[in-house]
Amino acid sequence: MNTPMNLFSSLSVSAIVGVIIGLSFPMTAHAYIDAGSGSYIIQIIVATFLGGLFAIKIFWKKIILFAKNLFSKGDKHDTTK
Amino acid sequence: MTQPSSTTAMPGSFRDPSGFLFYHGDKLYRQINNTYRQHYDLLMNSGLYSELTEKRLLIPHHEERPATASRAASGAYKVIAPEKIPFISYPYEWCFSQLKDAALATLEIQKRALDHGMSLKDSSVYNIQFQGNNPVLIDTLSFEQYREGQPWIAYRQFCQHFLAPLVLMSYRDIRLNQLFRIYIDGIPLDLASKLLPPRTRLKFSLLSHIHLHAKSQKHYENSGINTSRRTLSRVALTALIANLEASIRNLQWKPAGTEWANYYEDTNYTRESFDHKKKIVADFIRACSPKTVWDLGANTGEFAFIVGDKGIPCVAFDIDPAAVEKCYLDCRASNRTNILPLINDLTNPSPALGWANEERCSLRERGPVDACLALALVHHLALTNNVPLDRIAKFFSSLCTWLLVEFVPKSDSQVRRLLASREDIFDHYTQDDFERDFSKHFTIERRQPIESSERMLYTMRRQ
Repeated sequence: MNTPMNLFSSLSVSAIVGVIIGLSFPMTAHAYIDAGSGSYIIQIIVATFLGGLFAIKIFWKKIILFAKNLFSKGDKHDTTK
Repeated sequence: MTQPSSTTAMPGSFRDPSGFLFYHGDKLYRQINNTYRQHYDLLMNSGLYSELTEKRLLIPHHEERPATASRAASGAYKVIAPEKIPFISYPYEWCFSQLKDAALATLEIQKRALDHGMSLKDSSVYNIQFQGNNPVLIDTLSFEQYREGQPWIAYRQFCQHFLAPLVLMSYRDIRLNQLFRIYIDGIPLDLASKLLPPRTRLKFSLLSHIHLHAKSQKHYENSGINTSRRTLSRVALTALIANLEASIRNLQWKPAGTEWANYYEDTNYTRESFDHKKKIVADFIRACSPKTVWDLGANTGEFAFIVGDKGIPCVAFDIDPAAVEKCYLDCRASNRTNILPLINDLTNPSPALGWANEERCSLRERGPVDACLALALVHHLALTNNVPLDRIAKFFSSLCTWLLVEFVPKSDSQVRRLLASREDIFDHYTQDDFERDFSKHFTIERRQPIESSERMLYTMRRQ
């Protein structure tokens, strides 16, 4: 039976899927096993999300590193005065 | 294992058009078809093969000379001879840590493959076998060239073959790996999702790889999608593999309410009788010099270790997943490479499974072996499972030439405990009956009472 919660989850999945489809590009895949349509879609959604987090993590580390370098340079400059 | 004498294709090797396994005489070969040429050459020339075999993650092979390869069927590019695996085992026979190690090995292989411009095109749990304590990929044809933007084709298979059963074993019940016996292509994710406790939805990895994955499969079950239009960056693919790896590393299992240190100390042996029994086992092995041994009720492997430490491969079966888990962890910690601990219920041993009942061998098809140990086992089969003694003897005689078997009389405290809650209908469970029934199939070579006990050990040879 479709409860409102299940319906909401299905709609959420469909909405995210729609966004991802729009962002996709052409590429042919060859395989003797069935990747499964639903598995294929969820893989792209989850991997894109995780890849995004990874990119943010790297970017954030760079910002922190840049800020640290900036302040440490400032400190050095002060001490030489 | 009994093998056909002429050139015969392996019954379970038919799904992948890249090639197949076949026996010539008792030697196993793998044909590589022309259609797989480009991928095989890349595997060998990219450095991936040498790296994986060096790390004991992939089975080593050598390429056969043209004369040998002429036995191959049409369409052959090459014929290779993979290193022999001593005993083929299946995931429904593995303990939790064996399946977990196999899953982590598969992901490690996929990571290294990506580094060399390749990817696993399948991730079947049946492609992993144990060599020593190492989970090893035995399907050399599992790799394909990685194309930028390509998602992991084997993601669904990995979740069904590794993640779902491990999560079920960890979060719900250790015995749920037996679902492998029913579902040859791994545990259906909708079933796993229904069986798992609600708290698994609070973990991102389990929510996404199991629960939402199952919903997505259901949502798209009747609608094909154009996979040629969807791509995945390498960063995203690497993040997905890393997330699967972290999820599996985090999964744990321990028998409820126990500590490994004192698990399985529930015996009625004195130290003296235990040591005497060990000596009899060592004498038995020395006398019959077997090439391979099966310990049919190995418990945590104490007696199997005696066999393995003599350099003889020994499969240590037990019905209890906790005992097998402890045996495997002990073997891994002490680097005992001759022992393969496996779960098997002898009252319902692993059957032949898959297409035409030929893809996965039954326990008996993987024998017979030179010698079996049946220590403190017969009373369980006879009194708990009502198997008559002559049937037990007949079954054992189909498994081995030499047998070391223990008879535990009704006066023993462990047998009294077995009979405590049931009517004793076993008038024919006596030492005389035991000797008479086993003598129909074996010649009794030696009788040795175990010191400080009422038990008797028999050395027998199949007639």
